[in-house]
Amino acid sequence: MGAERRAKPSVDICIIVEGCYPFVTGGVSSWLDWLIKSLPQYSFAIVAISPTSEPAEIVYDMPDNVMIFRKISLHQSASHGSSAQLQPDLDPAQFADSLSRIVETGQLKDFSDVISLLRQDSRITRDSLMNSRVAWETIQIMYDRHMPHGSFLHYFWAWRALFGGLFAMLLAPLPRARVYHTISTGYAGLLAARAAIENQRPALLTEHGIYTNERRIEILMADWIAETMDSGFSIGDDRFDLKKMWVRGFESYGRICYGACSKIVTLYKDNQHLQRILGANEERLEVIPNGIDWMRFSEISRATDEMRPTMALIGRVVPIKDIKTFLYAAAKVRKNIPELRTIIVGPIDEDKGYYNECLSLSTDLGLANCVQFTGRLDITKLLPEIHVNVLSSISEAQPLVLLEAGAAGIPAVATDVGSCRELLLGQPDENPKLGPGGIIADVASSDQIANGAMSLLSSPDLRRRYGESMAERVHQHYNNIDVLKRYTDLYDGCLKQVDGIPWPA
Amino acid sequence: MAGIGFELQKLSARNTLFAQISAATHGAVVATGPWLFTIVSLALIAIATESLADREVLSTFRVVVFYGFCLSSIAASPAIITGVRLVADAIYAKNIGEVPAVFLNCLFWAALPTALVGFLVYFVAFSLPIFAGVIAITTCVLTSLIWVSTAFCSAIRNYRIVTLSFLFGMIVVTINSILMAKLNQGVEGMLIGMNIGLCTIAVSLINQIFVTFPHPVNSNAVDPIGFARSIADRWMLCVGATIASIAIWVDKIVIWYSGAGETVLWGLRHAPIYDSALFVSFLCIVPALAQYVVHIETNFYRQFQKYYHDISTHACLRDIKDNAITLKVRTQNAVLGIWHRHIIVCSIAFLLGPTIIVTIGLEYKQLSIFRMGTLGALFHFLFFACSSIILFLDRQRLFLNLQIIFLLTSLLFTIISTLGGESYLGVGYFAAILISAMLSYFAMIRVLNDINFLTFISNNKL
Repeated sequence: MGAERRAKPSVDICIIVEGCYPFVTGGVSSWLDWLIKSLPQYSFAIVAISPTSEPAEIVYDMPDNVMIFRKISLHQSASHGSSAQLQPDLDPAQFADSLSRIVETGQLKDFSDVISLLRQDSRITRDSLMNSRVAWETIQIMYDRHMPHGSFLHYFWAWRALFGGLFAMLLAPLPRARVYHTISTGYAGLLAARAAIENQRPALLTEHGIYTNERRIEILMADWIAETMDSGFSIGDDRFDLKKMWVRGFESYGRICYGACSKIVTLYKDNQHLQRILGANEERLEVIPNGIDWMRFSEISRATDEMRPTMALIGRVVPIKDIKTFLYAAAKVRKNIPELRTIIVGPIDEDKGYYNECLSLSTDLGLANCVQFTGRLDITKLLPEIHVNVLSSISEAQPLVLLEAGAAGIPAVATDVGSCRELLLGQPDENPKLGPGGIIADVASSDQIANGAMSLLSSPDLRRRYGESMAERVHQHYNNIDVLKRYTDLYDGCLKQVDGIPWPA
Repeated sequence: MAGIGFELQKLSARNTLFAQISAATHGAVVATGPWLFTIVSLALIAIATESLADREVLSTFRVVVFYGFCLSSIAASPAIITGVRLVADAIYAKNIGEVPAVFLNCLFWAALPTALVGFLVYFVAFSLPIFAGVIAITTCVLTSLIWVSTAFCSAIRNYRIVTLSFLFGMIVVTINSILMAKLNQGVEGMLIGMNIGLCTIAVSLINQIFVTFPHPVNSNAVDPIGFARSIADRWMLCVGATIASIAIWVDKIVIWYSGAGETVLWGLRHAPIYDSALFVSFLCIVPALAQYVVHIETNFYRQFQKYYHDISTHACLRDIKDNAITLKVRTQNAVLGIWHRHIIVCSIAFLLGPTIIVTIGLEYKQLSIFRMGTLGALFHFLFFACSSIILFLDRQRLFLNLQIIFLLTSLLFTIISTLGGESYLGVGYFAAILISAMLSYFAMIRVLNDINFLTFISNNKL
């Protein structure tokens, strides 16, 4: 799909998504697919941002109410024109100043200034902003300003990556929509901010994980980004280090998005703390959790005490799900419960290397007859056999699997990441208190996971009590009917704002 | 591939007169071996056979040798430039084992087009008898193999072998050709004698290359189709090299077919009044080219390596800019330094023109052509040096454009000059090379001024 289905001047909602839907399966993609399909009264456009211009397979059936689909690449191959033909009408010093302010402050006004600057010359292309002499002068001015003693080679490539994505967002064609809804900050957030400024239409943000935080962790752990500055013990050093440049770049992009969005939604309260630190306006913050089809899952039969004790991890076989810790925990549980059955339900083809490592580990731990990797399956078929749901992830937002299994009355043992604590133990202000729906463990602690699983597997009464608490919690707070109503109210409110407002010239 | 240049530089650094002369001599052979050897051989043969063979036979023999030179240099250009690039990449990546296979592929793709072009010229354009045509085509092919081997000789460090190969080959050519002339074997016989000498040189050089790179070659590595694809991938480079070769010969071809031209056996055309004077005048360029091999190719390569090394080891921008300025200044000084010495050589040749003409047995009316040739040689070095540096920095389109300018101006001005009569022969070539040299010099300076932009942006378009 690359073209408009109907000749409509605009759609109701333009969804802007980065690095997932509709090319990659996962929690965010599934949530978005469900949201669009559940709101047939609105017309949607989807702008999917991907890292490269390589063709990618769409793995979801495009909903009928998606009128426009566009794929934008952050990085693309250059034209082969001579550099002499690519000179934008920009003053390098002024351009460098504008870009520097974006990275240093992340203010919406600075972003708006860059948009205005680029609109002064209609011939500007991404090619001319990346490969022209103006670009070269700009890079040198910014290098002298930020990192005059650092590795120029590193700075050069960091600049190209950071600002290449920015330019792609500033120049990409934007569908006309009455509301723009971005599913993360980062580059998707920049595009939404641009849409809000240029088209004078409201922008919304729903953050599952905090994009800026995830990038910060990646950058700090990246050993390919050299430490280019020895700041000693100084904590007040204003100079840019390459890693700092990357982190501040993404933080600024996040601030720009927060500044542009009239509503900043996240899945759980703890996430709002990070959003506030990054400058999100308190009045715009809102929590709308994930919702599931509680009716469908609550009707699933429970696993009986007579069945073989079964613990399951429902998730992709990838490092972030820390399947290996789960396997270590399973080995410990099996020592006490020899008839234990362990299943891992989820795609195994995303990281073949990691999957093979897990298989080897499973054999080494003597679990070959106890552990089963099922691959992608309809979990409703397996939930009736599961006594305990385990989630050993290193990082999560608001895992749907806890909600779905919880609705089916299955208690969980989960690591203390994302909103897992909130899901299993309830929010501090939960009223009435529903009691624990599971057990929280530390990240990578196979002992705690094993102990939690054993206590649930060996005590049917505890298991039943926790399962019922969990089911009730999901019913009251994570029901998709309520979630849909919240989003409907959000969209309707924004659509009313723009009724009758003409498009800018 | 400046390996031999580095060895010659070490020789030159010994600071004795003998070492300096040796370095210059070997440098001259590496830079101009085939051409130098041909001029000297033909001169010796002409002197020795003046009374032995028919004038038309001697002229035809000379013409076929020139044609062999011309056709092989043009037809083999794409293969040579591609082969040199592939070997340079292999040496840089430390995949030395690939070199013999590349060399074999290069020999094939130099010989085959040369044979085809030779066939078209000798059997289609002209109507040589079969035996004569086959021998003439053999001359072309053997010359093309020598062109390839000479280009690869840049990577050989044993310069003595290169020089001895040409020297010995020259002796064989001269003796055989004189013998054949004495035995009244006609053009064909003299060409067979020539081919034996060419074969000697080719075999010696090819052998030396395999001695330098003694890696086994398996049948999978010898991949003519793959090499043809490499030529196609580097089409701009190949077209540039081919046009450069044509441009060197275009003035001569125009004059062969002008009023100054003459027909020898089998309808072959030449212009003895022009060819001999110009070829002799062009000997002025030999010392400059020798110095280029010994000093510019090596020092520029060294400086450029430093420039790149500092970037890849994370120098700051100020250091990168300083290195770029140093590279530019040193390159400019080196080129102009040699050119200033070249001015002296050409000036001496220009002033001593009458003496030189008489001494080597040319006609006095060829003096103006000889002098135009020396002036042309003066600027031709500048053009060659600047174009080579532009090509080294991978500015392929600019290199191509400069060669096209030289070709078109040489063609146009030579045609115009033929209208003025014999006194104006050579003016067309001189005017063309003057313009091209100036353009190439300023283009080289511009490229060197821009080297940071070219390195970071032009080579990494996103």
